Amino acid sequence: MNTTILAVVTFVYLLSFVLFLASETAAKGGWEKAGRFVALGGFVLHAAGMALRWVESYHAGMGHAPLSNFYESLIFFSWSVVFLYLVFAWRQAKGIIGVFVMPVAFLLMAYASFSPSVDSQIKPLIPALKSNWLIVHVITCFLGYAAFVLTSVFGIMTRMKHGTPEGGAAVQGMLEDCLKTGFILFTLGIVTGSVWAHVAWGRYWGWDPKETWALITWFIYTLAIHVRIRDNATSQRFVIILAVGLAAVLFTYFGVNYLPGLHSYK
Amino acid sequence: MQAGDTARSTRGGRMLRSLASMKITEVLLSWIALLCIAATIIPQAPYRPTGGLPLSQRVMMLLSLRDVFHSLWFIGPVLALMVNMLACMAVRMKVRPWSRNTPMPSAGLAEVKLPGGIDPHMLRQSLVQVLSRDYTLTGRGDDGPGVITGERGRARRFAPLIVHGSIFLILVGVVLAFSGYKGTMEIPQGQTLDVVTLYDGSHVHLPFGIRCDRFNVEYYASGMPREYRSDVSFISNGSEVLKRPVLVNHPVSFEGILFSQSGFGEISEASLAVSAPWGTQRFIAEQGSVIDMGGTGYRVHVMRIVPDMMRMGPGMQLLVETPEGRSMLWLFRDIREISREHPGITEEVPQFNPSLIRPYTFALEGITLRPTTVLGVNRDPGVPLVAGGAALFVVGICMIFLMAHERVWVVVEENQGILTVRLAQRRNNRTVQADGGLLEKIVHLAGGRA
Repeated sequence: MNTTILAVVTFVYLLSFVLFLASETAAKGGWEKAGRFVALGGFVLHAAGMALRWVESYHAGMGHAPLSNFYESLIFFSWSVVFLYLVFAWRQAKGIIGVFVMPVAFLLMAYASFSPSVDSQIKPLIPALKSNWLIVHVITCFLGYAAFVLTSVFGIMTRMKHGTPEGGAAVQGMLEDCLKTGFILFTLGIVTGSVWAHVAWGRYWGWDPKETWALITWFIYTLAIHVRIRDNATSQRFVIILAVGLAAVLFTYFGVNYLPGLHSYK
Repeated sequence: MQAGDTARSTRGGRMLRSLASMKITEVLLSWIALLCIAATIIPQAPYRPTGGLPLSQRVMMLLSLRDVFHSLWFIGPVLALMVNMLACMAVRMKVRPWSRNTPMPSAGLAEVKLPGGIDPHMLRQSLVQVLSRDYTLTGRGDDGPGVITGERGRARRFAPLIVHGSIFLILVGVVLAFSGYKGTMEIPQGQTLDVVTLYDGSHVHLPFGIRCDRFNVEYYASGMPREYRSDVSFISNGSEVLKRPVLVNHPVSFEGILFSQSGFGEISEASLAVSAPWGTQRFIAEQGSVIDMGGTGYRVHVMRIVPDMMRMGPGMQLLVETPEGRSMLWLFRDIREISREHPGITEEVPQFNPSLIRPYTFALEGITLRPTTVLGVNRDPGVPLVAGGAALFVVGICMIFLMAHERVWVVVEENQGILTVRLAQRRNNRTVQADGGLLEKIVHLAGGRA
């Protein structure tokens, strides 16, 4: 049941994207607002789907938060992206932001729901995952990922010759908010992860590929913050670093599965 | 002399400033990130033993990318980054005085003009009252130019120092870890062990023993493991000091050493009977056991125990030391059946003959499997520092990103009966365009009609 709801959410996000796209091309207004409310509706349904999945896992006698396998992480990643979009960009009546953000949410949902290689069944937890740190670690990491994705999207948007200067300032503001949020949450993700590693594996840091790539991502955004302080503006090289950061986030999440390590989703 | 001092201090100051250059920070961060990427692509072989190696080879190891995180390529830039950060912190302490007497900025002012009839002194006093609700006032306008100054979020100025200082704390903890060790112990159920096998293959003796009372795996109905549990006892000076279960995610700390459930296995044990004309002795032996045959000069080393050797059933390989020399012996539990099927095999292959070494006859009576638990062992005295540093770091970045050190200057000027109130603002030590709305609000609250 929860997987059906979540599959429907995929199309709600697609619809929202189409509406935002229309708002950028159509002469008449109203499309943008429709897009935002469809995105909000999808988000609520999305949250309901995850809550239902949690309840269903209790009915199946397992009872764990829906944050434990690749399917659930994709769903939560997508949810985080939409959540932060709503938090930071709700008041910005600019369809172009939705045009950039909603496809990310849509693609993550579509991959989770329709890829034959992603198993959507609720499975019991292996001993290593049976920890309260699972919830804190996964939530902070994925909200951090999502905020970084938005930061990079906004960064790329600032390079486009588009809209009014005030619109540009709004995007700059959202970019800064996302960068700060992402840096705090991702740092917390790494810290909670190392507390958990200390408890589960007996060491707080082991240069596992996921750990190393999280640190690489962290270094890149640390670099971005310092470059931004030095340039005191959204410079070309700042945006390039954000784009590299986006690639690092994606590799930390997806690519590391192809490297041997303790964090791969199997 | 004084001139010379100044020159030296400026030279020192210039050097400090170039060490604190953010450009260096950027280059070092990029370099370290690239090395980390390399470390996930090039297969890493850390924990190679270095004992007994010549110096040249040790130097080569420091340059090898097969162990990036212990190489000079990594440690060097990390140390350089530390120097860079120290210099930054020093510059911040020195060059940005935290004096409360910073003059009012002349740029980015907001101003409101008020009609005559308002007493500037009264207005100033009520402005002091209004501002003191939100700001800590550092000047009440009773001095010469009559500037009211206030600030809030003063603690924010320390945030960059907290963030960068906490990294030093973490790194000191990391360095302290090298005075400890990491390894594993595989303890067969029912046995006591006090030796840790480190990752580089060397061994460390613990000042106490650990007995595995029981190791157990619970499974879900689907066959997936649900829980790994070792019940262990810590034994000091022959007596049991602590009895605890070690589970995944629930490690046990004893005398500053952390023991975590890290794996399991089993060992084969052979029941061995050794007959001589004067009687038969029975032994339980595992791989690596050495059996002393009681003053005869015969010693038996158990080389291997194999549940199915050469498809001829359970077998074991022994090396027997005799006063005359050493002989290898292969024992099979089913040697009688094997000899029946392959007549003459013990003559063809003498090592298969259980009576090869006179006066003894060896017999393998059976092999049993005993479960073992593998405990991860970590003695790391740096953990509290790393944890403290990480906590401070998080506090520091929250302060940097969520707080602001705000300073305001308000001045009231009277010119031909018209009062002009001006506001200047600085956020985090940068002059910003003053907020006209804020000025109108405070003037309004102070009783002047803006």
